[in-house]
Amino acid sequence: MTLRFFRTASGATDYRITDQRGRLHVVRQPSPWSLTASVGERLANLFASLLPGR
Amino acid sequence: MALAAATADRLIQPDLFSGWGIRTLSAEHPAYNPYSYHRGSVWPVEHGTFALGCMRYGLWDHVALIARAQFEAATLFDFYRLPEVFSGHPRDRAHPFPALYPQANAPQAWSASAIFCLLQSLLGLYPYAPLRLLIVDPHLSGCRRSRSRTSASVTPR
Repeated sequence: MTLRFFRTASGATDYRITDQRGRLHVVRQPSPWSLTASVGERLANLFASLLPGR
Repeated sequence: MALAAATADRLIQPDLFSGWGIRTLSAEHPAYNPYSYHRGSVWPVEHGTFALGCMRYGLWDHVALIARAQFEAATLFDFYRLPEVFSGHPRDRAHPFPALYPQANAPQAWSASAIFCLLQSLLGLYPYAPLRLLIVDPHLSGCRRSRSRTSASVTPR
């Protein structure tokens, strides 16, 4: 799998899967080590990762 | 959180942050010596830990500053290989590159390991093999847009 990370026009950071062989799920999610991520942020990122086209 | 942010802010003040990295001792300390092993030099390996710590507290601008300093320092060494340590001189016109520490091992494996920690901090990479899951949480906000594209390859076993 190859991921490309880039900044969008709004300045946010996004990623795109450019090549994938085999089964590996990619989910946007604050690090499990994060001490500041809220439950809401984790849920929002999780749902966004599951949208079609991701 | 406030203590973590204050600590991170302290690390990037000019007396501690040379522009190439964070010194082992403040340049304002009487014992400061930019060529001392532990009293003013910059250790690349520590910057991986600094970045991971800042990442845990969501201090993305600090992560970006630390990463950029180390990446730019690496470009000035042969094959981008960071040495064990370099001098703590400030990054300015008089010191446009990190002065070499004479006895530093170069290259050194743990300095190389810091690069992976920096990437992990910037991109929020966290692999969880049992679920064949890769967690990402990229924050390139402190990077210049023209150089902000980063590719990472993952090979599942």
